[in-house]
Amino acid sequence: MGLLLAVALLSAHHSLASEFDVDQPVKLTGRVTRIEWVNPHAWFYIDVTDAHGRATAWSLQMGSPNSLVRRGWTKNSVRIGDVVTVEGSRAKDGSHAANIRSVVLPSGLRLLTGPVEGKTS
Amino acid sequence: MPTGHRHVVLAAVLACGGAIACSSSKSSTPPPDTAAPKQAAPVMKPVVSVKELMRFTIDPLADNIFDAVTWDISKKGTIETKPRNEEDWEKVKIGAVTLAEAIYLLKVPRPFAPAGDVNNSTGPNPPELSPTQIQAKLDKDPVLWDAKIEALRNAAKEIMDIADRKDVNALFEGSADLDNACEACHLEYWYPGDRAAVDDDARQRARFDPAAKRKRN
Repeated sequence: MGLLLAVALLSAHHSLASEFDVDQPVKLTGRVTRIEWVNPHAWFYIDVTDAHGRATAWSLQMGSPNSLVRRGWTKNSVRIGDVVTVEGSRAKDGSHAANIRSVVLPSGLRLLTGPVEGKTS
Repeated sequence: MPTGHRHVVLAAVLACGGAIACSSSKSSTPPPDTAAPKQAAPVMKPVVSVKELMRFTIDPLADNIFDAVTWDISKKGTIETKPRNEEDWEKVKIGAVTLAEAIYLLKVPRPFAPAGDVNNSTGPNPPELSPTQIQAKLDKDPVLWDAKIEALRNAAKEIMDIADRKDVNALFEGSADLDNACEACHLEYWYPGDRAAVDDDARQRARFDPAAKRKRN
């Protein structure tokens, strides 16, 4: 379901507030399974494992690839298999998707992922 | 060039020169085209609302550009998508040219949404403005509306140039410029409530980015 949502959102602009609920903050730790560098939003996917060993796939929306590069990201910042911790807002439809604000890498480095400051101009 | 043909060309050049000379000697006479009866400006009648124009024309055309350069990385490896041949670049050019021209259709007065569609503008803290609210913003400052249109047109023209140069890296960066032009207009007219999130993000960024913090201070 998360992947389906991601595909639907990839092709169009939407209000952040229409799709994601800032009153539903999420903090997730999981293993990276897929990364998509694509405009207008980059995405990556993690498997979050619960206490019973069950894995749930989450789709995580970020800003545009260029905005990530301006914040110090490269295409190798997050690698498949890395365990990362993300913080953001959950999708309003209750699916396992979120718009994320930051990612903490295995090294402990925290990278930001949100919209570009200049977009309001 | 055969001599006979050259003479014909020379005669034509002289004839043109004579015509120009005659024309300049009668500078007080208005040019013929201004003397012709003025034609009424064509009446542009919209077929669809702004929302439908976006969904069925602008957005799909933008995807010709957004989807042209991508990297999909998984445990199976990296799938790199980029224009590789004339056909791929032509698809990008088609998207850019049509966007540059079609965005001017937003200058044709039209409803912002189909009849009965009020956007996601109801309930507490609605994320989107209603068509009536958007129209009021446009009426209050039509120059700003035109400026947003021109910004997107310029981004599309940038992509046209990139497609001619066949520069993959520039295309990826130009796509971001196109996204910024789209998003700046959406934040103004469609979902201005998101501006708070964008501003909050800028503040958060300053907390972690020393360069941004120095700039802010």
